Amino acid sequence: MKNVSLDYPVLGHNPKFSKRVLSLASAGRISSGTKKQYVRSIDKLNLHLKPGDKLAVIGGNGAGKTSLLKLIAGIYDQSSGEKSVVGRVTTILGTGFGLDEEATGYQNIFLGGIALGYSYKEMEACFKDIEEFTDLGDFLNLPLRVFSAGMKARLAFAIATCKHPDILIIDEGVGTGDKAFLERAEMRLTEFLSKANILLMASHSNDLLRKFCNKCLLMNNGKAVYFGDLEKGIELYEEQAK
Amino acid sequence: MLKALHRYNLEFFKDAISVIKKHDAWLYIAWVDIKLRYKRTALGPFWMVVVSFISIFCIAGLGSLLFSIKLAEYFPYVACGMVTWSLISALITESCMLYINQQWLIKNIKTSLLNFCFRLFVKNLIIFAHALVVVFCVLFCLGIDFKVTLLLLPLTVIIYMVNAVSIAVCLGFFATRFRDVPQVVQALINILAFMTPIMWKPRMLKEYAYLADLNPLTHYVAIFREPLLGVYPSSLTWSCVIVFTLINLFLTILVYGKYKKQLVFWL
Repeated sequence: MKNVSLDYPVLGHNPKFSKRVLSLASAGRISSGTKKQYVRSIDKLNLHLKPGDKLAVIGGNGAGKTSLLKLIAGIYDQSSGEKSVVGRVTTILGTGFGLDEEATGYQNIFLGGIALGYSYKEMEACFKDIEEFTDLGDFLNLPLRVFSAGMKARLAFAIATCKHPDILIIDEGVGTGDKAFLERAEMRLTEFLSKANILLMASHSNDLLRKFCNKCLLMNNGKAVYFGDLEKGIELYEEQAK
Repeated sequence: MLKALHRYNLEFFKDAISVIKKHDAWLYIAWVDIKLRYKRTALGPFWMVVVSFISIFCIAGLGSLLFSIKLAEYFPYVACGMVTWSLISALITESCMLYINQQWLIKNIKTSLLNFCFRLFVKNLIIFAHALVVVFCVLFCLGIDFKVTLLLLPLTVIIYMVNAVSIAVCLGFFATRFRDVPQVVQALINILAFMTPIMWKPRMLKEYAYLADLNPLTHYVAIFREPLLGVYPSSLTWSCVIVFTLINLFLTILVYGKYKKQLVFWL
């Protein structure tokens, strides 16, 4: 990433249509400021990650963490600057992506996988793996609406990680789940990370970050404040918060 | 201008080809869409058959009295026209809310926007196929033989697919940016149902019959209805459809290339 900025256009906040007509009618004397409004969520950021980097993205609310992750995931496109991402990216930005409450667990494995960009055949291949990992048994034959929140999170996590992407992006932890599941999720993440891929994780939990990350990016107001050692970054962030 | 068009061109076709390659994915989702929609109903997708049969029957009966045409002649015409129209109107109205309904996905996962377009088309084509069962029953009962013109239908389906994807892109993007569009389209589609020859025939307009030809939807309906009825669509119809398809495709390439990266901010 070189000098990347992201401007969000703010729609639906423009002056009312009637006001604009008035402004035209009065030949601009009644100015209504019809210019589009923008929010700059990322400001001239430079970032270079190589395989094996496990980056913790930290910062206060509205620092631009999620925007940065979405930018790398390719959901947003930068307003200026250059970006190049090599490899397959998978995002866990929230639980329940593309899953349908009415569909059964099995159908949802395909729905979720397809939403992530895999083909039907690819999902068929890792079907067994998901079945085993989630340990949901016969529940997979039932519609998703009877699942508990933890079970849904388990299924979503299993689908998102079934394909070993080159770059994994996680926003705000792994979500809810009982102890046994969290342990298994951690094991899966550790296994994934041992394959020298790139991880980007935004979280407010220092324990989680310490467990998985080896680098840190501290953000404030869309700018990179610090990039480097994890412990130093957390220290700086805590100082900043005071 | 030409350079930009060339770039957009590549972008659209590159994305389209990669989506078509993964056809098993959207075919599966479209199928699940339909299954879920009729979940826990006794008749399942055959509700569509029942509903379309009743409405066709009522309208054909009423029309044959109104216009004093023999029911046997009028019934197949209305049946074929109405199932085609329901496909067209569903494609147009659903295009408006296509991206708005999927905003969670678009905002959180990198997906190809064209995926939704193909899925919309396939879903509605499956619904159409169910309704077509009624049409074939009607034609069979009336003793109308199946003609060789039915062989034109695959071509018609391909033309519909190109147009459906184009409309889903153009109208979908437009409606996402300007939220008034779905309301306008909803109102227009009801008017168009009367302005398009489905319940009436262009020759009933006598010297004003050419007015029906000015409506592009007349021709789009005709390329589905005429082969079903065993008639070859006229050359005017073919040329109109081809010209409109090309215009559609051209607009789509421009809109898609220019705005596909901005759509996420409009949601």
